Amino acid sequence: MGKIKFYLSILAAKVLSLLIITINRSSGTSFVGLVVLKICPDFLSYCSKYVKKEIITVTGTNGKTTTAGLISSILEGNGQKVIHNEKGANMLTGVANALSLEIMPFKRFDYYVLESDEAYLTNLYDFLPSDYLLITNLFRDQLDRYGELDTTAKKIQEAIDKNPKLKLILNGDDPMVTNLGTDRDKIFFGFDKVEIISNSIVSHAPIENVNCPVCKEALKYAERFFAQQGHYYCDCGYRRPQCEYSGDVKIFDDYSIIKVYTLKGDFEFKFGLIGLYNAYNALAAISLGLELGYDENKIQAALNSYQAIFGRAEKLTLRGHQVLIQLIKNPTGASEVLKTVDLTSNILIIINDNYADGRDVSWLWDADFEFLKDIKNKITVSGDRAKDMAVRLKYAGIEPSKISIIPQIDDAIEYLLNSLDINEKITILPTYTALLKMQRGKWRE
Amino acid sequence: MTETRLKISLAHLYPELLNIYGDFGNVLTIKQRCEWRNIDIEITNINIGDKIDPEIFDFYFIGGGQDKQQIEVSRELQLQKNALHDAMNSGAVALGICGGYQLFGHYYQPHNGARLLGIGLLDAYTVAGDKRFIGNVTAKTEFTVPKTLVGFENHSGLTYLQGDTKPLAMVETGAGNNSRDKTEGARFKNIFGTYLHGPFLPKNPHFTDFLIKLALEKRYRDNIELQKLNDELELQAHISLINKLY
Ligand SMILES: [Zn+2]
Repeated sequence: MGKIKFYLSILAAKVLSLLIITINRSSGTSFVGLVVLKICPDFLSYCSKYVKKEIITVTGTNGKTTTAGLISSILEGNGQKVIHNEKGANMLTGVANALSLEIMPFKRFDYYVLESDEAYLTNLYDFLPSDYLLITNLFRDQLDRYGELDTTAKKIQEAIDKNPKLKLILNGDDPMVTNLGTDRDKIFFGFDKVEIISNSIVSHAPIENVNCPVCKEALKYAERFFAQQGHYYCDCGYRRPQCEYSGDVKIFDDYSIIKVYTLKGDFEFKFGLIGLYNAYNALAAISLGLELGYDENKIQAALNSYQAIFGRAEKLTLRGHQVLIQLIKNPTGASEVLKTVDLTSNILIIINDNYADGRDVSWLWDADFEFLKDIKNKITVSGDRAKDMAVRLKYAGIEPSKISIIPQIDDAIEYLLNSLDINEKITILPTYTALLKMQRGKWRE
Repeated sequence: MTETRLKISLAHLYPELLNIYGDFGNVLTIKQRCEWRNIDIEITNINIGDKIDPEIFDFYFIGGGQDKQQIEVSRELQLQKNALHDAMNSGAVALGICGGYQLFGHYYQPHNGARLLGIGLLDAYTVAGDKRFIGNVTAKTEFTVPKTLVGFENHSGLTYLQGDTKPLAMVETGAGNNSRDKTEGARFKNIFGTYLHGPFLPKNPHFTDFLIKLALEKRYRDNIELQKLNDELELQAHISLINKLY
């Protein structure tokens, strides 16, 4: 009976997606996943039979999508058949969505690469245990959702405990991540040395005190690279571990050079996404790629071909305008984006406060919108919290006459596309649900 | 007649420890609204180990943090308690938000474990609750025009007021101090506490100005009228948040 429901749900998925595609050309919803789970609640359990090699989950606050995308790209570049929930919808329905659209009764895949929200990991493992779990970092952006950072760490720990054969690939530079899965086999990646070659602007986002997850005293740092990440140590003995995949990185204006030292030798990679933030994502994916035994040249090729997916830096041309779309979702990530934003472009900032965005928009005040204060063109603000954003910009030093408020997202985009000269560039900075909404914008056609 | 420039001196208490809800936005708002009026403002960060001189400051601000940071600040505040009481008695303005507000009261009693001592500027105490209140808040205060205050709350502590300490506002949407008596925040003399962040001051410019005026009047011992600013954007944001879904 269960099996029949499973096939039925797969059939439903294909039909539904065909329907959706013909109706409004969208595939970015998790509606199909929702229906699939309605028809067959343990759909995901059946999916474990359709993978030949490994199931890899990626979680963490920042960089999940980029890291998971890079991993898929590495695997596919090595001729592997991969399913990846790449639409950025990383809740359970999103996973069901991705799997139901790809799986066929007699077709099997080599890998699933699944990105999951920290809070949904336990739930995911109830149905679909994993072989590898990669944790990128744990920032405090989801504070309002889970109470405190400790709670998030606990949720991940619970998920790990449910999954006895899980291999952990952890960011050794993040003190909140390294002690997860206390007694498990762990493989660490981290940077020994970070060199910022250009762009010397220093973020003034508050440097938070970080407490030792073991004894709760304030951690000390021999070097602090980025937010809580660096070479930390504590009087109780907790410290940054020896990393199996350690790297040196040089951050240039629009690329990074990452040198990775491993037991198998030293390899150098060039990666085209900007900022240390992305260098960490690359190091994470490279480490897993090497760990799975893939060749460094193929990994480099995959890095080259990697298209920043789902808006994390989507470039497109719309009615003659060069448009760059970059997700913003927490102060640290947003400040990194703002630091490098093109000040000659026309900026549109879209702030929503739905559950997946975080309902509390306090974080806007911890992000360095001050980087925009010398902008020449008007800045447009949109989304449910457009007015909050307008106030934030005013206090960042931007003249109110240079701020226009257009709450409806589609209207704001149409307005820019229609009112600007053809050679004018547009930069769009949306929060998560704003970005989801943008995937279905009519202006894309 | 040459006008002398007015000045305010503000102490931002423990910004490295208590800063989780955009608290820099509150201080930035005070700063900008002073500077737009050509009022000089000097901001001093007070960190652990710094002695507070109540002669210097007209305005104190303290934000919110996670449990561990709050414990550290609680310990430090005991050493600064007398100085801050002197400040209060001289009419200085203080605004405490979330955790900072709780520390302005007598204590915070967790479910298990020792009481976290406050400094008793407000006749108030806080006990741990079983539920976390997270959502948009609208409250009404008697101190300003317009009367509405808007913000976002995220706390599980239940705060109760007593004696001469009065509520800052009464909630219309949201839980407020304890979700029972409809009170939100507190005031005694010029000491203010609130659970509202988001942050609080940018979205309530009328309340920010009320505090700036009090701080100036403390410094100059005279009635001072603030120059009006164009608050169109701030008020649009304010209005859009009134009675927003919790
Ligand atoms: Zn320790």
